[in-house]
Amino acid sequence: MNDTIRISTPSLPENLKWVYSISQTLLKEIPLDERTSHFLLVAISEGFTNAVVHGNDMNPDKWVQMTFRIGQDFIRIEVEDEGVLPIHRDIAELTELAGPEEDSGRGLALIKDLVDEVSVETNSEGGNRLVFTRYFENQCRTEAFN
Amino acid sequence: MEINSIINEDYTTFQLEGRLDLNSSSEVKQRVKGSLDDGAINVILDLSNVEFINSSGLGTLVSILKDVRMVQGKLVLCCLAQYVQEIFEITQLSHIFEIFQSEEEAAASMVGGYVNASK
Repeated sequence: MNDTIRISTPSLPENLKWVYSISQTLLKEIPLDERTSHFLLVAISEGFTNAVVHGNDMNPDKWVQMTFRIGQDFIRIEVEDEGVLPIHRDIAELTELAGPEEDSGRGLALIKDLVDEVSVETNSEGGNRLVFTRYFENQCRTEAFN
Repeated sequence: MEINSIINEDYTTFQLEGRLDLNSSSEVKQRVKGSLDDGAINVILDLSNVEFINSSGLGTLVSILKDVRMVQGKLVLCCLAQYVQEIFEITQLSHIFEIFQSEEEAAASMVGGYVNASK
C-alpha cells in the first residue's frame, strides 16, 4: 500500500470533527490495532489543534494542510500551517511536557509519546510543518502503560 | 459534547459524554464555572462516557481544578475509560488529580468516607 491523501481546511476549531472523520476512515484501512489507532487519532487531533491555535492563531483566513502518507510499514502525517516557528526552539524544547499546573503545553509532548518519530520544520511558504510517523511493527509500544 | 449536572447535598456531579477536545473544552469549563459561581464547591467529573481526550481537554480539566481550588473546594474525576486513563498517565496528570474507579468511590470521598483510590 502506498497512498498519499491531502486535505486542506480553514483554521476553524469545528473542522476538527471533519479531520476525525477522514482520519478514522483512513485508519481503518491500515493494519493497526484499536489502541494504536486510537492514540494515532489523538496525535492527529493534537497536530490539527496545534496548527489552528498556535500556528494560525485561530485565524479562519489561514489554512491548515494535512498530508497522510501511507507506506508498506508506516503512516506519516504532515500538518502545515501559516504560522512562524518561534526562533531558538528545537524539537526537544517544543515537545517538552508542560508542568502539571499549566493549562496548555502538552500537545506536542503527547505526539512525541504516541508516535515513533516527530519533527518540526519551516515549509516552503514560511509556515510550520509538523511531521510525525508511526511504524506498524511498533504498534504494541503503548502496552507499556498498562 | 453532552453535559448533565446533578446537584447533591455535598457536591455536584457532571456527567460528560463525547470527545473532550478543542471543540468541547470551553463548554465544559463554562458549565463548571457557572456552577461554582452559583455556589457549588465540590465537583465530581464523571468521565465514563468520554471516549477520547487530548491536550485541549486535559488543559481544561487543569483549569477547572484551579477554579475549584479558588473556592476552597475539591475536584475529583471518576470512571475513566482505559485509553483516557493512559493519556493521564502519559502526561503525568494522574499525579495531580484524584481519580476514582467508580462514582460511588468519588462520592464517598466528598463526604469524608473511606475510599480506595485507583491511583
